[in-house]
Amino acid sequence: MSAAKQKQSWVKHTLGQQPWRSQTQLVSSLALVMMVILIIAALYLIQTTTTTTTARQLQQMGDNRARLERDNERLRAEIAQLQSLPRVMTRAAELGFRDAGPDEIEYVIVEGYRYNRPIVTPTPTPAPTQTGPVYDETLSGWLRKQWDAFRQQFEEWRSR
Amino acid sequence: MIHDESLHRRLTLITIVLLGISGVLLVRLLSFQFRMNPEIKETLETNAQIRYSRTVEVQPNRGQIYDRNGHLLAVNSFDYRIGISPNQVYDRQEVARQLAPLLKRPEDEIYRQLLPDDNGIYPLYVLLAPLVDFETGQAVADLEIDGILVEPIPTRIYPQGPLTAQVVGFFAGSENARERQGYYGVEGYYQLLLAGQSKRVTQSSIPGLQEANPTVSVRDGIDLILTIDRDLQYLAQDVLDQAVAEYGATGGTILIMNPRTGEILAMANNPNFNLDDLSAEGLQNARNQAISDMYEPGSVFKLVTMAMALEAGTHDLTWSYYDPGCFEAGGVSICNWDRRSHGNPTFAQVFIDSLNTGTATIFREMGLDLVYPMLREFGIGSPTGIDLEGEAAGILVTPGDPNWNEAQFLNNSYGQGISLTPLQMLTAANAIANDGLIMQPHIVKARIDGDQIIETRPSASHRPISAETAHTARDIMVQIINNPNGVDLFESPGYTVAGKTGTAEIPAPYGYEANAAIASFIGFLPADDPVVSVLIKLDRPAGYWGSQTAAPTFQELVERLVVLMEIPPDSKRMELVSQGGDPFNREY
Repeated sequence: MSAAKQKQSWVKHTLGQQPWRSQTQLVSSLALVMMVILIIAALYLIQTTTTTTTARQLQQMGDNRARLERDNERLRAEIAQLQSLPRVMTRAAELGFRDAGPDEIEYVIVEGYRYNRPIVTPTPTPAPTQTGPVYDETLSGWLRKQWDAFRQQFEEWRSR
Repeated sequence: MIHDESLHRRLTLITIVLLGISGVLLVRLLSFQFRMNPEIKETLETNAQIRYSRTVEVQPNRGQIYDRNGHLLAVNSFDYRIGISPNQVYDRQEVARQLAPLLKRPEDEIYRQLLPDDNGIYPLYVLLAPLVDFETGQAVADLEIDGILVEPIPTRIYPQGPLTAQVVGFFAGSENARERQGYYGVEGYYQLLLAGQSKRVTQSSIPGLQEANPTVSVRDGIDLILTIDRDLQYLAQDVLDQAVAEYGATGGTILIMNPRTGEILAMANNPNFNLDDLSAEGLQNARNQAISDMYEPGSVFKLVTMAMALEAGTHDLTWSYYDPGCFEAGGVSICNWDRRSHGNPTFAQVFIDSLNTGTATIFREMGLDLVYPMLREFGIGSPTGIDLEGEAAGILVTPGDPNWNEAQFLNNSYGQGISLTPLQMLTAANAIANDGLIMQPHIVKARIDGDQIIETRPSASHRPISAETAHTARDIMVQIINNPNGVDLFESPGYTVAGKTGTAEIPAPYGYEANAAIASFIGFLPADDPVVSVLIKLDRPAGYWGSQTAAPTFQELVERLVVLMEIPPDSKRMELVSQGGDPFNREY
């Protein structure tokens, strides 16, 4: 057998369509399709999990905020009660203070000075500002976030 | 070979059958998705809606109430309602053990509430405590028990307690937040503004679909800054309570106003209202007597008579008359307080000596056609329109009314046969203090809506007299309390005060009560440039006369008032004025 014939036979042997090769191709194709489906499913699962986790965190933060607001209101009420005039007057009397009489007040006239008494008004409660969502996500950023979320979930699972 | 063919046929058959079943299922699925009976579709969607979402009413924060210096008079807080879903509880015994000390209930009682009924079905919700205080509610929430529901119930705290209770009113109602509202005072009058606007929100049970913060879009109630000065309110209440005790009165009122703006600086009543007692009997005192209770004002009303006569031009300072001590008119006897003749008193002397015969003569000379329209100009017989709930209009009987007669007309000249509220009386007298102009009485100085502050601008409601008339009347008022021979004499060292006392008989079903009177005093200072006007009213004092009970009370009040309001003595004030300064640094 010449060298050229020998080479032709080797190529035929390597690339030729053998009966068992068609099965391999089918399995490979199916495996590939399965792989793609799995990747899509995994991505979908990761995204859903992330969304749900974030929503849950948001809900908890909302609950926490409501509770902190109630705490603040309560503290404000407590401060107001501690500063109430009947209480302050009682405490002042205990400490030995008493009302000044008009004959105990000394008015001093300062030449050319005009005192401008500040007008006290309570600080208005600031209105909550609504901020719109900012869309500045890139593909690499999104992939990193997915990876981080996936890793965090894995870490949480492992630490249990 | 035969075996292979049989297997192949069977497999083909199974494949066809399975494909057929799949096809049927697919067709059914597609028909469900796209060709479903609309009624069934609607029912299913409604069921899904009920299962996966709920509509709740998000309540706004009620507006807070401050005094003019920013001290809180009404502030929000929360109580809690504790409930539980027993089907979500794993260890009932442990849950009952944890909750029992906090809810102050027996452990076994709570445990029994967590058990299923006779059919083995758990109730969806069990109420464990209808109302617990803030600390208990937070402690229960901190336990983080599965299935526990800790619902906040908005409440109101009034840090100053009874001191401002009748002015501010109160917030009450059922435990349902929607059914709670303000009653009496500012809480009642400004209910809609304070309440804000709730919002109905449909919340999804699916976390991802929940609105992030539904409370943001709820319109909170508007905060109110009152004209009330907490320190002056305390002073007024303190002086009033002391006076009621000292003079054996059954009650009373002290009203402090700025006659230049119509602002109410203090409004104290005795008895006042205890916010902890919301029983039917306790609620009797929730009424603000200064604006709701009418009385016959007596001689303080002579200030109105004096101003009217001077303004009408029918009388001036040179006028005089013969005082018989008593005279008959319209079938009744009109007498001076001492039933004695004072000779031929002048116009000013009529008021310095508080002569009923003098004011009755003035009214008779003025005539009906002049008197009644002028009384209306002073706001007599009409509500002042103050922004507080429960104001009474007063009673002015006019010609044409079945009860009217000439005797009543003459009685009106010295404040009998006419009914006013303390606020109406002081508002009318303020015309003299404010150069003839009556300013609209008001209690709200400003409203805070988010980051906006809306100030209440002082506004004039009537001009019953000219500035010139007001100044003449004011000079007579100064003489009333400074004249060494006057009945209303009292000392106010360093300060010029204008004032008038009153001792009014109290109407009874047939005539007037014997040996009982309402003693009162109206005054303002500094007389030449008033910044504060005061009404003192004592009900049925043992001392009877206004000059012996209400006038000393006014003196006691003024001595402390000038310190709190930083009103310098006249000499110092004049020095400041001569330098071109405003000693009161007025905002108007």
